Amino acid sequence: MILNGNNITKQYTRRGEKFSAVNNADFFAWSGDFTVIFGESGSGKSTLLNALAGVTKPTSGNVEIDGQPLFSLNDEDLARLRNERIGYIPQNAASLSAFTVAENITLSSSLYNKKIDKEHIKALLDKLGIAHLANEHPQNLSGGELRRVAIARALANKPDLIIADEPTSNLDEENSRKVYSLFARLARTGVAIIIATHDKTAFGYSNRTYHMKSGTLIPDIGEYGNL
Amino acid sequence: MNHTTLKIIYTNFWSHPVRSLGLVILTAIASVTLLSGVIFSKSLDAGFEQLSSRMGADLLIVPYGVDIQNQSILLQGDFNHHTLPREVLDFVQKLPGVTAASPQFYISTLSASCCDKKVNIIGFDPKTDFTIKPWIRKTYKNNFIPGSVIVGSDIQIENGEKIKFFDKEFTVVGTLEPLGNKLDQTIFADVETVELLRQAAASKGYNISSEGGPSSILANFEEGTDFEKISQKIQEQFNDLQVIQRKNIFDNVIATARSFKIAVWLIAGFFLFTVIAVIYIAFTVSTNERKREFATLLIIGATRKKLADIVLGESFLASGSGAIAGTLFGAVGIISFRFLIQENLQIPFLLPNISAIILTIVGALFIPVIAGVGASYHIAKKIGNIDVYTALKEDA
Repeated sequence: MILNGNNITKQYTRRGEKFSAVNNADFFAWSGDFTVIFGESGSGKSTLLNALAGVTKPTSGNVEIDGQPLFSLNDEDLARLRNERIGYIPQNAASLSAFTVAENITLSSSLYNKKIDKEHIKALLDKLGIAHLANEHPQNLSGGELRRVAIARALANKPDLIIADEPTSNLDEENSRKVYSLFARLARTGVAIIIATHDKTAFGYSNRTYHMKSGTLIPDIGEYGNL
Repeated sequence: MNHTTLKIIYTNFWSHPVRSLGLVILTAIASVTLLSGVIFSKSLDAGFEQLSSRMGADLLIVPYGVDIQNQSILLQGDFNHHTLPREVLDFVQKLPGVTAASPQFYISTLSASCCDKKVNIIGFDPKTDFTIKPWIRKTYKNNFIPGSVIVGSDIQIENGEKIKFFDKEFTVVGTLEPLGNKLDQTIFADVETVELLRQAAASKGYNISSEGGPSSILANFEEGTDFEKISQKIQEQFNDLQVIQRKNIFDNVIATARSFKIAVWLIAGFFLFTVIAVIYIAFTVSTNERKREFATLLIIGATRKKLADIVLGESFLASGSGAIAGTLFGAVGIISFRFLIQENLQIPFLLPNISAIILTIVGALFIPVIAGVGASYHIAKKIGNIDVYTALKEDA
């Protein structure tokens, strides 16, 4: 799997003024890469990840997976690609309150009437330490538990690209380590991992790093990189 | 829509029971008012059509004191023993321009073998009649034999069966098509049968009508006749009577009916508008609350169209359930209470035929649903264009 982002610019309008949340960003990731994007809040990391995940169309530039430009796909094909190949964990992911934790996690499969791999789901819940919450409703869960539900949901369909925005926010040290270990194991199996975070622990697992500052993406910052 | 999408719609519908049931009830009310509005209007129109053909006379002459203001004379005759002098008929028949003039006799019996209540009888003269016969001929084509009667549609006696008044039996020879007014509970007989009835009553000591004079005279005139002049002539000759032009009576009845129709349509329109407004507001609030859920669905692979389908599906479920409940309730209500409506409104009310009723039911089912789904369409479109980054950031 090759993810390629070229000249990604995303502009928003704030109080009548246009500003670039992401400005001409070039991004690249291979299968098995563990990429960390470091940056301050408001630097444009989330906007960039949204564009890489195919949920926010950039104002200009393009994002390709295996040479396929994401935003030239129609709604249906893009949705299916997101469902089958991308596991995205946004910063403030919500869960469907009327569904149980197990139902929320298997939602990506059931949306397309796909057979649910129960063994895989069970293993995921065990690894993330939320197996005992399978039949609970999201409103009964803590912030950290909800975060782990969002991670499990993103991994449920066995994607070959995982994009995670602050995946360990709300998690304690032990659970953060569990999550990074899980991502690292997945990277070793060929899954591309892209993480945006403040958490410097993540650099210990990465093989590629970027620094995001005021909408500009700077590759291989070195200071924290494990290159 | 797959099972999961339906489940999302269904579970969300029940996760806000007060809001959902409120929408269902509101749509049900809109359906009821729409259904009753259309059926009410169609019933009035059908009733008027029948009544108009039934009362196809230019002039109606009745004794002084007959209440013509509430049109009961048109709907059910007047059975208060008022009669006209016998000479009035001769006089009217000789008036210039008259093409037909015929008497009618209104008799109210104290008892009959068929019925718990008093039965009203309208007697007419088959030789001169031009209003009742054409209507009766639709169901009875033979000549009248003294002692036979035709019954209104609501009197449940089969042809050939006997009905007894004052211990004298009369044979039922026909049942009339419904008119949608009290004439459906009336018995029609020719003058000779009316005379037999009067004699039977007299033999039992009852005086059911005074001295055999007609209760009313109906007359038709050539085109261009000046009815004001004719009325004046009749009233100059006879003191204790009233001459009514058909136009005047129908104007009043039509005006009353029009007011009812306008009121019913206004109520139906109000509820339909309320359904649109409430669904729009409720779905705006609810989808704003659930923006993050929708953004999450998009992230895990739902199409933007699916998000819109979920919103439209929820409004379809709410408005559809309401429309079904309202239509059922309205149909049962209007059919069950039509006699009460006739009785209380004193205007002709005749249910339309079955195909018109079915068409109305279909309309009452679909119009509130279209209004409800239409009201949420704009919101569904907005949700379909949701910006994930903004949606997840809000209220996080």
